[in-house]
Amino acid sequence: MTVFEILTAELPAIILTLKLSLITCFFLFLIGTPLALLLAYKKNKFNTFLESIFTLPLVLPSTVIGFYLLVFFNPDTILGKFFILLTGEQLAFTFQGLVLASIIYSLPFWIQPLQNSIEKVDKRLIQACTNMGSSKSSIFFEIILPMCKKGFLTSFILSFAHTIGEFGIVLMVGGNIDGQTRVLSISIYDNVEQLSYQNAHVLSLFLILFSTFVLFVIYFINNKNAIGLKS
Amino acid sequence: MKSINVEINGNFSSLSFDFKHKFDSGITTLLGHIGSGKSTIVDSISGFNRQLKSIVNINGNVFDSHIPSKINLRPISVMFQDTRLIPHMNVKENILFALKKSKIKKTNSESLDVEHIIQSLGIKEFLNKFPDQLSGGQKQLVNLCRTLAIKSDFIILDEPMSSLDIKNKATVLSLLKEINKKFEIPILIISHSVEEIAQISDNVIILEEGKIVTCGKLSQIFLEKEFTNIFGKFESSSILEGVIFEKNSSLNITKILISGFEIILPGDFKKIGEKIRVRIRARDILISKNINSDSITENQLFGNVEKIKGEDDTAFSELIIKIGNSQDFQFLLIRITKYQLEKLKVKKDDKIYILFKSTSFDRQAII
Repeated sequence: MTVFEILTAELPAIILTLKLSLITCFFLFLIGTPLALLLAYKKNKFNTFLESIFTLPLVLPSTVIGFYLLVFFNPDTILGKFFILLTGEQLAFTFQGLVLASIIYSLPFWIQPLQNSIEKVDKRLIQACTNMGSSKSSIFFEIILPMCKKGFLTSFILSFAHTIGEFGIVLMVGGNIDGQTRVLSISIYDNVEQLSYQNAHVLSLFLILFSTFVLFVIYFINNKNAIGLKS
Repeated sequence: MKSINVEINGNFSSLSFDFKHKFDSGITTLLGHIGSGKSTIVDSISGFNRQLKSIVNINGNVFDSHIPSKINLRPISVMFQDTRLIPHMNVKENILFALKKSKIKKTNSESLDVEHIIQSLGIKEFLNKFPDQLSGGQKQLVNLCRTLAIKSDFIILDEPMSSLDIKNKATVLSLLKEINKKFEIPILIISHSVEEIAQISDNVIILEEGKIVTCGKLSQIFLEKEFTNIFGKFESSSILEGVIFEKNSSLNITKILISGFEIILPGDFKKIGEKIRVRIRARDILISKNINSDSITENQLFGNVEKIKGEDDTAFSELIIKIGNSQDFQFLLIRITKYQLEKLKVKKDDKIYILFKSTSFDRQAII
Protein backbone atom coordinates (compact mmCIF):
# COMPACT_ATOMS: atom_id res chain seq x y z
CA MET A 1 0.00 0.00 0.00
CA THR A 2 1.21 3.47 -0.74
CA VAL A 3 1.45 6.14 1.93
CA PHE A 4 -1.52 7.85 0.38
CA GLU A 5 -3.62 4.69 0.52
CA ILE A 6 -2.74 4.10 4.14
CA LEU A 7 -3.65 7.69 5.07
CA THR A 8 -6.90 7.38 3.14
CA ALA A 9 -7.72 4.15 4.91
CA GLU A 10 -6.98 5.81 8.26
CA LEU A 11 -8.87 8.96 7.33
CA PRO A 12 -11.78 8.27 9.71
CA ALA A 13 -9.27 7.98 12.58
CA ILE A 14 -7.50 11.19 11.51
CA ILE A 15 -10.76 13.10 11.21
CA LEU A 16 -12.01 11.71 14.51
CA THR A 17 -8.78 12.76 16.21
CA LEU A 18 -8.99 16.30 14.84
CA LYS A 19 -12.68 16.51 15.73
CA LEU A 20 -12.00 15.32 19.27
CA SER A 21 -9.17 17.84 19.70
CA LEU A 22 -11.15 20.77 18.38
CA ILE A 23 -14.24 19.99 20.43
CA THR A 24 -12.08 19.48 23.52
CA CYS A 25 -10.40 22.86 22.96
CA PHE A 26 -13.77 24.53 22.54
CA PHE A 27 -14.93 23.22 25.91
CA LEU A 28 -11.57 24.00 27.48
CA PHE A 29 -12.00 27.60 26.37
CA LEU A 30 -15.36 27.70 28.12
CA ILE A 31 -14.30 25.82 31.26
CA GLY A 32 -10.57 26.37 31.53
CA THR A 33 -10.56 30.13 30.91
CA PRO A 34 -12.71 31.07 33.93
CA LEU A 35 -10.66 28.65 36.03
CA ALA A 36 -7.42 30.28 34.84
CA LEU A 37 -8.89 33.70 35.71
CA LEU A 38 -9.94 32.45 39.13
CA LEU A 39 -6.54 30.94 39.89
CA ALA A 40 -4.72 34.03 38.60
CA TYR A 41 -6.76 36.57 40.56
CA LYS A 42 -8.01 34.88 43.71
CA LYS A 43 -5.13 33.53 45.70
CA ASN A 44 -6.30 31.57 48.73
CA LYS A 45 -5.80 28.14 50.27
CA PHE A 46 -8.82 26.64 48.58
CA ASN A 47 -7.74 27.83 45.15
CA THR A 48 -4.23 26.55 45.73
CA PHE A 49 -5.84 23.21 46.47
CA LEU A 50 -7.88 23.49 43.26
CA GLU A 51 -4.71 24.34 41.37
CA SER A 52 -3.07 21.12 42.55
CA ILE A 53 -6.17 19.10 41.62
CA PHE A 54 -6.23 20.57 38.11
CA THR A 55 -2.54 19.79 37.68
CA LEU A 56 -2.96 16.12 38.66
CA PRO A 57 -3.31 14.90 35.05
CA LEU A 58 0.25 16.13 34.49
CA VAL A 59 1.73 13.82 37.11
CA LEU A 60 -0.59 10.85 37.40
CA PRO A 61 -0.29 7.89 35.05
CA SER A 62 -3.12 8.12 32.57
CA THR A 63 -4.31 4.72 33.76
CA VAL A 64 -5.24 6.15 37.16
CA ILE A 65 -7.41 8.86 35.63
CA GLY A 66 -8.75 6.44 33.05
CA PHE A 67 -9.70 3.96 35.75
CA TYR A 68 -11.57 6.51 37.86
CA LEU A 69 -13.28 7.98 34.83
CA LEU A 70 -14.53 4.50 33.94
CA VAL A 71 -15.80 4.14 37.50
CA PHE A 72 -17.59 7.50 37.32
CA PHE A 73 -18.97 6.79 33.86
CA ASN A 74 -20.69 3.67 35.21
CA PRO A 75 -24.46 3.95 34.69
CA ASP A 76 -24.96 3.37 38.44
CA THR A 77 -23.24 6.64 39.35
CA ILE A 78 -24.92 10.05 39.36
CA LEU A 79 -22.90 11.17 36.33
CA GLY A 80 -23.66 7.96 34.46
CA LYS A 81 -27.37 8.14 35.31
CA PHE A 82 -27.54 11.78 34.34
CA PHE A 83 -25.91 11.12 31.00
CA ILE A 84 -28.21 8.22 30.20
CA LEU A 85 -31.15 10.43 31.10
CA LEU A 86 -29.79 13.09 28.76
CA THR A 87 -28.78 11.01 25.75
CA GLY A 88 -30.10 7.51 26.29
CA GLU A 89 -26.63 5.95 26.15
CA GLN A 90 -23.82 5.40 28.57
CA LEU A 91 -20.64 7.48 28.65
CA ALA A 92 -17.94 4.83 28.50
CA PHE A 93 -16.84 3.76 25.00
CA THR A 94 -18.62 6.69 23.31
CA PHE A 95 -17.29 9.79 21.61
CA GLN A 96 -18.96 11.97 24.27
CA GLY A 97 -17.17 10.05 26.99
CA LEU A 98 -13.93 10.58 25.13
CA VAL A 99 -14.55 14.32 24.93
CA LEU A 100 -15.23 14.47 28.67
CA ALA A 101 -12.08 12.49 29.42
CA SER A 102 -10.02 14.67 27.06
CA ILE A 103 -11.27 17.83 28.74
CA ILE A 104 -10.17 16.48 32.10
CA TYR A 105 -6.71 15.31 31.10
CA SER A 106 -5.97 18.37 28.96
CA LEU A 107 -7.19 20.83 31.61
CA PRO A 108 -3.72 21.63 33.00
CA PHE A 109 -2.45 22.20 29.47
CA TRP A 110 -5.11 24.86 29.03
CA ILE A 111 -5.05 26.42 32.50
CA GLN A 112 -1.34 26.77 33.18
CA PRO A 113 -0.10 28.75 30.16
CA LEU A 114 -3.18 30.94 30.29
CA GLN A 115 -2.95 31.49 34.04
CA ASN A 116 0.71 32.50 33.69
CA SER A 117 -0.19 34.87 30.93
CA ILE A 118 -3.09 36.42 32.88
CA GLU A 119 -0.90 36.83 35.95
CA LYS A 120 1.44 38.96 33.85
CA VAL A 121 -1.33 41.48 33.15
CA ASP A 122 -0.71 44.35 35.57
CA LYS A 123 -3.47 44.31 38.18
CA ARG A 124 -3.04 48.05 38.54
CA LEU A 125 -3.99 48.44 34.89
CA ILE A 126 -7.18 46.52 35.56
CA GLN A 127 -7.82 48.78 38.55
CA ALA A 128 -7.37 51.83 36.35
CA CYS A 129 -9.76 50.43 33.74
CA THR A 130 -12.33 49.65 36.43
CA ASN A 131 -12.06 53.23 37.58
CA MET A 132 -12.71 54.35 34.00
CA GLY A 133 -16.01 52.49 34.16
CA SER A 134 -15.12 49.18 32.52
CA SER A 135 -17.29 46.27 33.58
CA LYS A 136 -15.76 42.86 34.29
CA SER A 137 -16.73 41.56 30.87
CA SER A 138 -15.29 44.62 29.16
CA ILE A 139 -12.04 44.10 31.07
CA PHE A 140 -11.94 40.46 29.95
CA PHE A 141 -12.71 41.07 26.29
CA GLU A 142 -10.98 44.41 25.77
CA ILE A 143 -7.97 44.15 28.08
CA ILE A 144 -7.17 40.59 29.16
CA LEU A 145 -8.03 38.82 25.91
CA PRO A 146 -5.90 41.04 23.66
CA MET A 147 -3.06 41.15 26.19
CA CYS A 148 -3.08 37.36 26.62
CA LYS A 149 -3.25 36.46 22.93
CA LYS A 150 -0.03 34.47 23.23
CA GLY A 151 -1.29 32.72 26.34
CA PHE A 152 -4.50 31.69 24.61
CA LEU A 153 -2.62 30.50 21.55
CA THR A 154 -0.18 28.50 23.67
CA SER A 155 -3.05 26.98 25.65
CA PHE A 156 -4.91 26.13 22.48
CA ILE A 157 -1.98 24.55 20.69
CA LEU A 158 -0.76 22.61 23.73
CA SER A 159 -4.23 21.27 24.56
CA PHE A 160 -4.88 20.48 20.92
CA ALA A 161 -1.57 18.65 20.51
CA HIS A 162 -1.89 16.89 23.83
CA THR A 163 -5.38 15.62 22.99
CA ILE A 164 -4.04 14.28 19.72
CA GLY A 165 -1.17 12.57 21.52
CA GLU A 166 -3.01 11.04 24.48
CA PHE A 167 -3.20 7.26 24.50
CA GLY A 168 -3.71 5.66 27.90
CA ILE A 169 -6.93 7.34 28.94
CA VAL A 170 -8.37 7.11 25.44
CA LEU A 171 -7.77 3.38 25.39
CA MET A 172 -9.31 2.84 28.81
CA VAL A 173 -12.31 5.14 28.42
CA GLY A 174 -12.97 4.94 24.70
CA GLY A 175 -11.73 1.57 23.61
CA ASN A 176 -11.29 0.99 19.91
CA ILE A 177 -14.59 1.53 18.11
CA ASP A 178 -14.16 2.51 14.50
CA GLY A 179 -15.49 5.99 13.72
CA GLN A 180 -16.51 6.43 17.38
CA THR A 181 -13.45 6.21 19.57
CA ARG A 182 -10.66 4.89 17.37
CA VAL A 183 -8.33 7.89 17.29
CA LEU A 184 -4.84 7.98 15.73
CA SER A 185 -2.89 6.90 18.79
CA ILE A 186 -5.17 3.87 19.21
CA SER A 187 -4.91 3.11 15.55
CA ILE A 188 -1.11 3.02 15.73
CA TYR A 189 -1.27 0.70 18.74
CA ASP A 190 -3.76 -1.50 16.93
CA ASN A 191 -1.59 -1.68 13.82
CA VAL A 192 1.44 -2.66 15.88
CA GLU A 193 -0.59 -5.35 17.65
CA GLN A 194 -1.58 -6.74 14.25
CA LEU A 195 2.03 -6.50 13.07
CA SER A 196 1.14 -4.11 10.23
CA TYR A 197 4.27 -2.06 10.87
CA GLN A 198 4.01 -0.17 7.60
CA ASN A 199 0.73 1.43 8.64
CA ALA A 200 2.12 2.16 12.11
CA HIS A 201 5.15 3.80 10.48
CA VAL A 202 3.09 6.08 8.27
CA LEU A 203 0.78 7.15 11.08
CA SER A 204 3.61 7.65 13.56
CA LEU A 205 5.57 9.71 11.09
CA PHE A 206 2.46 11.71 10.35
CA LEU A 207 2.06 12.44 14.08
CA ILE A 208 5.73 13.34 14.46
CA LEU A 209 5.59 15.78 11.57
CA PHE A 210 2.32 17.25 12.74
CA SER A 211 3.51 17.69 16.33
CA THR A 212 6.83 19.19 15.25
CA PHE A 213 4.98 21.69 13.13
CA VAL A 214 2.64 22.59 15.97
CA LEU A 215 5.45 23.03 18.49
CA PHE A 216 7.49 25.03 16.01
CA VAL A 217 4.55 27.38 15.58
CA ILE A 218 4.34 27.99 19.33
CA TYR A 219 8.03 28.56 19.77
CA PHE A 220 8.07 30.80 16.77
CA ILE A 221 5.20 32.90 18.04
CA ASN A 222 6.47 33.07 21.58
CA ASN A 223 9.86 34.07 20.26
CA LYS A 224 12.12 31.92 22.36
CA ASN A 225 9.87 32.42 25.39
CA ALA A 226 9.18 29.27 27.34
CA ILE A 227 6.08 27.40 26.29
CA GLY A 228 4.38 28.79 29.33
CA LEU A 229 4.27 25.72 31.53
CA LYS A 230 5.35 26.26 35.08
CA SER A 231 8.65 24.59 35.80
CA MET B 1 -22.39 74.06 45.40
CA LYS B 2 -20.88 70.64 45.01
CA SER B 3 -19.68 68.87 48.09
CA ILE B 4 -17.94 65.61 48.77
CA ASN B 5 -17.76 64.01 52.19
CA VAL B 6 -15.28 61.29 52.88
CA GLU B 7 -14.99 59.20 56.04
CA ILE B 8 -12.41 56.44 56.33
CA ASN B 9 -11.82 54.34 59.43
CA GLY B 10 -10.09 51.13 60.36
CA ASN B 11 -6.70 49.48 60.28
CA PHE B 12 -4.73 48.72 57.18
CA SER B 13 -1.07 47.80 56.67
CA SER B 14 -0.12 48.68 60.26
CA LEU B 15 -1.74 52.12 60.08
CA SER B 16 -4.82 53.14 61.97
CA PHE B 17 -6.93 55.33 59.72
CA ASP B 18 -9.13 58.15 60.89
CA PHE B 19 -9.89 60.39 57.96
CA LYS B 20 -12.88 62.67 57.82
CA HIS B 21 -13.02 65.52 55.37
CA LYS B 22 -15.46 67.62 53.44
CA PHE B 23 -14.09 68.63 50.06
CA ASP B 24 -15.39 71.84 48.56
CA SER B 25 -15.31 72.60 44.87
CA GLY B 26 -11.75 73.90 44.93
CA ILE B 27 -8.43 72.16 44.58
CA THR B 28 -7.25 70.29 47.65
CA THR B 29 -3.79 68.86 48.18
CA LEU B 30 -3.15 65.83 50.34
CA LEU B 31 0.31 66.00 51.85
CA GLY B 32 2.19 63.51 53.92
CA HIS B 33 5.38 61.55 54.32
CA ILE B 34 5.96 58.34 52.42
CA GLY B 35 3.95 55.65 54.19
CA SER B 36 1.51 58.08 55.76
CA GLY B 37 -1.37 56.35 53.96
CA LYS B 38 -2.03 58.76 51.10
CA SER B 39 -2.42 56.12 48.41
CA THR B 40 -4.59 54.02 50.72
CA ILE B 41 -6.90 57.02 51.06
CA VAL B 42 -7.08 57.21 47.26
CA ASP B 43 -7.83 53.47 47.03
CA SER B 44 -10.53 53.80 49.69
CA ILE B 45 -12.25 56.75 48.04
CA SER B 46 -12.19 55.04 44.65
CA GLY B 47 -13.49 51.80 46.20
CA PHE B 48 -10.54 49.47 45.68
CA ASN B 49 -9.67 49.11 49.33
CA ARG B 50 -12.28 46.88 50.95
CA GLN B 51 -10.53 46.39 54.27
CA LEU B 52 -11.11 49.89 55.54
CA LYS B 53 -14.55 51.16 56.38
CA SER B 54 -15.30 54.08 54.15
CA ILE B 55 -18.27 56.24 53.38
CA VAL B 56 -17.99 58.53 50.37
CA ASN B 57 -20.81 60.97 49.76
CA ILE B 58 -20.65 62.69 46.40
CA ASN B 59 -23.37 65.29 46.06
CA GLY B 60 -25.75 63.03 47.98
CA ASN B 61 -24.69 59.85 46.20
CA VAL B 62 -23.48 57.62 49.03
CA PHE B 63 -20.93 54.82 48.59
CA ASP B 64 -20.45 52.66 51.66
CA SER B 65 -17.64 50.11 51.69
CA HIS B 66 -19.89 47.73 53.65
CA ILE B 67 -22.63 47.80 51.05
CA PRO B 68 -21.45 45.97 47.94
CA SER B 69 -21.73 48.12 44.87
CA LYS B 70 -20.06 48.28 41.52
CA ILE B 71 -16.80 50.17 41.87
CA ASN B 72 -16.77 51.02 38.17
CA LEU B 73 -19.91 53.13 38.58
CA ARG B 74 -18.44 55.49 41.18
CA PRO B 75 -18.38 58.97 39.66
CA ILE B 76 -14.71 59.43 40.54
CA SER B 77 -11.80 59.58 38.15
CA VAL B 78 -8.40 58.65 39.47
CA MET B 79 -5.01 59.24 37.97
CA PHE B 80 -2.88 56.57 39.60
CA GLN B 81 0.70 57.32 40.44
CA ASP B 82 2.22 54.80 38.03
CA THR B 83 1.10 55.32 34.48
CA ARG B 84 -1.24 52.50 33.63
CA LEU B 85 -1.88 52.94 29.93
CA ILE B 86 -3.40 50.08 27.97
CA PRO B 87 -0.39 48.68 26.06
CA HIS B 88 -2.22 47.40 22.98
CA MET B 89 -4.05 50.65 22.34
CA ASN B 90 -2.48 53.80 20.98
CA VAL B 91 -2.79 57.13 22.76
CA LYS B 92 -5.97 58.08 20.96
CA GLU B 93 -7.60 54.71 21.67
CA ASN B 94 -6.56 54.92 25.31
CA ILE B 95 -8.30 58.27 25.66
CA LEU B 96 -11.36 57.12 23.71
CA PHE B 97 -11.57 54.01 25.89
CA ALA B 98 -11.87 56.16 29.02
CA LEU B 99 -14.35 58.42 27.30
CA LYS B 100 -16.52 55.52 26.14
CA LYS B 101 -16.38 53.38 29.29
CA SER B 102 -17.14 56.21 31.69
CA LYS B 103 -20.44 56.93 29.99
CA ILE B 104 -22.12 54.47 32.36
CA LYS B 105 -21.12 56.54 35.38
CA LYS B 106 -23.94 58.64 36.74
CA THR B 107 -22.61 62.13 37.26
CA ASN B 108 -23.97 65.60 37.77
CA SER B 109 -21.00 67.22 36.16
CA GLU B 110 -20.61 68.22 32.58
CA SER B 111 -18.18 66.20 30.51
CA LEU B 112 -14.94 68.01 29.93
CA ASP B 113 -13.89 69.11 26.50
CA VAL B 114 -11.38 66.40 25.64
CA GLU B 115 -10.33 68.04 22.36
CA HIS B 116 -9.32 71.11 24.34
CA ILE B 117 -7.43 69.03 26.91
CA ILE B 118 -5.55 67.18 24.16
CA GLN B 119 -4.69 70.52 22.59
CA SER B 120 -3.54 72.13 25.84
CA LEU B 121 -1.42 69.20 26.93
CA GLY B 122 0.25 68.98 23.53
CA ILE B 123 -0.67 65.33 23.08
CA LYS B 124 -1.90 65.79 19.53
CA GLU B 125 1.47 65.05 17.96
CA PHE B 126 1.69 61.55 19.44
CA LEU B 127 -1.96 60.49 19.33
CA ASN B 128 -1.12 57.55 17.07
CA LYS B 129 1.83 56.28 19.09
CA PHE B 130 1.66 53.30 21.41
CA PRO B 131 2.52 53.60 25.13
CA ASP B 132 5.88 51.85 24.76
CA GLN B 133 6.94 54.47 22.21
CA LEU B 134 6.42 57.34 24.66
CA SER B 135 8.77 58.94 27.17
CA GLY B 136 7.90 58.97 30.86
CA GLY B 137 6.68 62.55 30.70
CA GLN B 138 4.56 61.91 27.61
CA LYS B 139 2.98 58.89 29.28
CA GLN B 140 2.13 61.01 32.28
CA LEU B 141 0.47 63.64 30.08
CA VAL B 142 -1.58 60.95 28.34
CA ASN B 143 -2.49 59.43 31.70
CA LEU B 144 -3.65 62.84 32.89
CA CYS B 145 -5.63 63.43 29.71
CA ARG B 146 -7.25 60.01 30.02
CA THR B 147 -8.15 60.69 33.66
CA LEU B 148 -9.75 63.99 32.72
CA ALA B 149 -11.67 62.25 29.93
CA ILE B 150 -13.42 60.07 32.51
CA LYS B 151 -16.86 61.44 33.25
CA SER B 152 -16.83 62.18 36.97
CA ASP B 153 -17.80 64.39 39.88
CA PHE B 154 -14.46 64.13 41.67
CA ILE B 155 -10.98 64.08 40.18
CA ILE B 156 -8.14 62.52 42.17
CA LEU B 157 -4.57 62.91 40.91
CA ASP B 158 -1.81 60.94 42.63
CA GLU B 159 1.53 62.69 41.98
CA PRO B 160 0.37 63.91 38.57
CA MET B 161 3.46 65.87 37.64
CA SER B 162 6.34 63.78 38.95
CA SER B 163 7.88 63.08 35.51
CA LEU B 164 7.17 66.42 33.87
CA ASP B 165 9.58 69.23 33.06
CA ILE B 166 8.94 72.78 34.27
CA LYS B 167 7.24 73.87 31.06
CA ASN B 168 4.81 70.96 31.08
CA LYS B 169 4.19 71.37 34.79
CA ALA B 170 3.10 74.95 34.22
CA THR B 171 0.77 73.82 31.41
CA VAL B 172 -0.78 71.13 33.58
CA LEU B 173 -1.18 73.45 36.53
CA SER B 174 -3.00 76.11 34.57
CA LEU B 175 -5.17 73.49 32.84
CA LEU B 176 -6.20 72.00 36.18
CA LYS B 177 -6.96 75.42 37.55
CA GLU B 178 -9.01 76.23 34.48
CA ILE B 179 -10.96 72.96 34.62
CA ASN B 180 -11.61 73.36 38.30
CA LYS B 181 -12.90 76.87 37.84
CA LYS B 182 -14.98 76.22 34.75
CA PHE B 183 -16.60 72.91 35.66
CA GLU B 184 -16.48 73.24 39.46
CA ILE B 185 -15.37 69.63 39.79
CA PRO B 186 -13.46 69.21 43.05
CA ILE B 187 -9.88 68.08 42.51
CA LEU B 188 -7.73 66.24 45.03
CA ILE B 189 -4.01 66.23 44.30
CA ILE B 190 -1.46 64.12 46.08
CA SER B 191 1.89 65.77 45.90
CA HIS B 192 5.22 66.25 47.60
CA SER B 193 6.26 69.34 45.71
CA VAL B 194 5.90 72.66 47.52
CA GLU B 195 5.94 74.53 44.22
CA GLU B 196 3.00 72.52 42.90
CA ILE B 197 1.03 72.97 46.10
CA ALA B 198 1.72 76.66 46.26
CA GLN B 199 0.60 77.30 42.74
CA ILE B 200 -2.58 75.39 42.65
CA SER B 201 -4.08 74.46 45.99
CA ASP B 202 -6.93 76.19 47.68
CA ASN B 203 -6.89 73.79 50.59
CA VAL B 204 -4.29 71.51 52.09
CA ILE B 205 -4.69 68.38 54.18
CA ILE B 206 -1.69 67.07 56.06
CA LEU B 207 -1.80 63.35 56.73
CA GLU B 208 0.30 61.43 59.20
CA GLU B 209 -0.08 57.73 59.96
CA GLY B 210 -3.56 57.63 58.46
CA LYS B 211 -4.83 60.63 60.39
CA ILE B 212 -5.39 64.24 59.42
CA VAL B 213 -3.07 66.34 61.53
CA THR B 214 -4.19 69.63 60.11
CA CYS B 215 -6.16 70.98 57.21
CA GLY B 216 -7.32 74.33 55.96
CA LYS B 217 -6.68 77.13 53.54
CA LEU B 218 -3.29 77.04 51.89
CA SER B 219 -2.11 80.40 53.25
CA GLN B 220 -2.79 79.27 56.83
CA ILE B 221 -1.31 75.81 56.43
CA PHE B 222 1.92 77.29 55.11
CA LEU B 223 2.42 78.97 58.47
CA GLU B 224 1.79 75.88 60.56
CA LYS B 225 4.44 73.73 62.13
CA GLU B 226 3.00 70.50 60.66
CA PHE B 227 3.83 71.90 57.26
CA THR B 228 7.38 72.74 58.20
CA ASN B 229 7.66 69.28 59.74
CA ILE B 230 7.19 67.85 56.28
CA PHE B 231 9.17 70.30 54.22
CA GLY B 232 11.71 71.50 56.73
CA LYS B 233 12.69 74.99 57.73
CA PHE B 234 14.37 75.61 54.43
CA GLU B 235 11.07 75.66 52.64
CA SER B 236 9.09 77.58 55.22
CA SER B 237 7.43 80.36 53.30
CA SER B 238 4.23 82.29 52.71
CA ILE B 239 1.86 82.49 49.82
CA LEU B 240 0.50 85.90 48.96
CA GLU B 241 -2.29 86.55 46.54
CA GLY B 242 -2.61 89.77 44.62
CA VAL B 243 -4.01 91.43 41.53
CA ILE B 244 -1.94 92.66 38.60
CA PHE B 245 -2.47 96.38 38.11
CA GLU B 246 0.40 97.55 35.96
CA LYS B 247 2.97 96.22 33.55
CA ASN B 248 6.15 97.78 32.33
CA SER B 249 7.61 96.04 29.33
CA SER B 250 10.73 98.21 29.05
CA LEU B 251 11.78 97.33 32.61
CA ASN B 252 10.25 93.87 32.24
CA ILE B 253 8.30 93.99 35.48
CA THR B 254 4.75 93.26 36.60
CA LYS B 255 3.27 95.31 39.42
CA ILE B 256 0.79 93.62 41.70
CA LEU B 257 -1.32 94.80 44.61
CA ILE B 258 -1.26 92.55 47.68
CA SER B 259 -3.65 93.63 50.45
CA GLY B 260 -3.09 97.25 49.53
CA PHE B 261 0.67 97.02 49.03
CA GLU B 262 2.46 97.42 45.76
CA ILE B 263 4.83 94.59 44.90
CA ILE B 264 7.26 94.48 42.00
CA LEU B 265 7.46 91.15 40.29
CA PRO B 266 10.35 90.62 37.87
CA GLY B 267 9.14 89.32 34.53
CA ASP B 268 5.97 89.41 32.48
CA PHE B 269 3.04 87.52 33.93
CA LYS B 270 -0.61 87.23 32.93
CA LYS B 271 -2.82 90.22 32.15
CA ILE B 272 -3.78 93.34 34.06
CA GLY B 273 -6.68 92.64 36.43
CA GLU B 274 -5.87 88.96 36.81
CA LYS B 275 -5.14 87.30 40.14
CA ILE B 276 -1.66 86.04 40.83
CA ARG B 277 0.00 84.08 43.60
CA VAL B 278 3.57 84.40 44.76
CA ARG B 279 5.60 82.50 47.29
CA ILE B 280 8.24 84.10 49.43
CA ARG B 281 10.58 82.09 51.59
CA ALA B 282 10.51 83.10 55.24
CA ARG B 283 14.30 83.43 55.40
CA ASP B 284 14.42 85.98 52.56
CA ILE B 285 12.50 88.70 54.38
CA LEU B 286 13.98 91.53 56.42
CA ILE B 287 12.21 93.54 59.10
CA SER B 288 12.71 97.01 60.45
CA LYS B 289 10.97 99.20 63.02
CA ASN B 290 11.42 102.38 61.05
CA ILE B 291 12.36 103.06 57.51
CA ASN B 292 14.49 105.64 55.77
CA SER B 293 13.24 107.41 52.71
CA ASP B 294 15.55 105.85 50.11
CA SER B 295 14.35 102.33 49.84
CA ILE B 296 16.79 99.48 50.23
CA THR B 297 14.52 97.04 48.46
CA GLU B 298 11.77 97.23 45.88
CA ASN B 299 9.12 95.84 48.13
CA GLN B 300 8.14 97.39 51.42
CA LEU B 301 5.13 96.30 53.37
CA PHE B 302 3.82 97.26 56.75
CA GLY B 303 2.16 94.94 59.18
CA ASN B 304 1.31 93.83 62.65
CA VAL B 305 3.25 91.19 64.59
CA GLU B 306 0.68 88.50 65.37
CA LYS B 307 2.88 85.84 66.83
CA ILE B 308 6.50 85.26 67.73
CA LYS B 309 7.83 81.79 68.38
CA GLY B 310 11.41 80.97 69.13
CA GLU B 311 12.75 77.66 67.95
CA ASP B 312 14.03 75.57 70.82
CA ASP B 313 17.33 74.31 69.53
CA THR B 314 18.28 76.87 66.90
CA ALA B 315 19.30 80.50 66.68
CA PHE B 316 16.07 81.37 64.87
CA SER B 317 12.66 82.74 65.63
CA GLU B 318 9.56 82.77 63.48
CA LEU B 319 7.27 85.73 63.20
CA ILE B 320 3.79 85.80 61.76
CA ILE B 321 2.89 89.22 60.42
CA LYS B 322 -0.59 90.31 59.39
CA ILE B 323 -0.68 92.73 56.49
CA GLY B 324 -3.63 94.70 55.13
CA ASN B 325 -6.84 95.88 56.76
CA SER B 326 -9.66 94.03 58.47
CA GLN B 327 -11.42 93.27 55.17
CA ASP B 328 -8.41 92.33 53.10
CA PHE B 329 -5.55 90.81 55.02
CA GLN B 330 -2.95 88.12 54.59
CA PHE B 331 -0.29 86.52 56.72
CA LEU B 332 3.42 86.48 56.17
CA LEU B 333 5.94 84.17 57.75
CA ILE B 334 9.38 85.55 58.57
CA ARG B 335 12.40 83.72 59.93
CA ILE B 336 15.12 85.75 61.60
CA THR B 337 17.74 85.14 64.25
CA LYS B 338 16.85 85.59 67.91
CA TYR B 339 19.80 87.95 68.06
CA GLN B 340 18.24 90.27 65.47
CA LEU B 341 14.85 90.06 67.17
CA GLU B 342 16.35 91.17 70.46
CA LYS B 343 18.35 93.92 68.80
CA LEU B 344 15.24 95.31 67.15
CA LYS B 345 13.18 94.83 70.33
CA VAL B 346 10.24 93.48 68.38
CA LYS B 347 7.29 92.33 70.48
CA LYS B 348 3.88 90.91 69.72
CA ASP B 349 1.40 93.52 68.33
CA ASP B 350 4.23 95.81 67.21
CA LYS B 351 3.94 97.52 63.86
CA ILE B 352 6.89 96.73 61.68
CA TYR B 353 8.18 97.23 58.16
CA ILE B 354 8.76 94.21 55.99
CA LEU B 355 11.36 94.37 53.25
CA PHE B 356 12.29 91.95 50.55
CA LYS B 357 13.98 92.05 47.19
CA SER B 358 12.12 91.12 44.05
CA THR B 359 14.67 88.38 43.49
CA SER B 360 13.25 86.58 46.53
CA PHE B 361 10.21 85.33 44.67
CA ASP B 362 10.25 81.70 43.84
CA ARG B 363 9.99 81.86 40.07
CA GLN B 364 8.46 78.44 39.86
CA ALA B 365 5.77 79.41 42.30
CA ILE B 366 4.32 82.36 40.46
CA ILE B 367 0.96 81.64 38.95
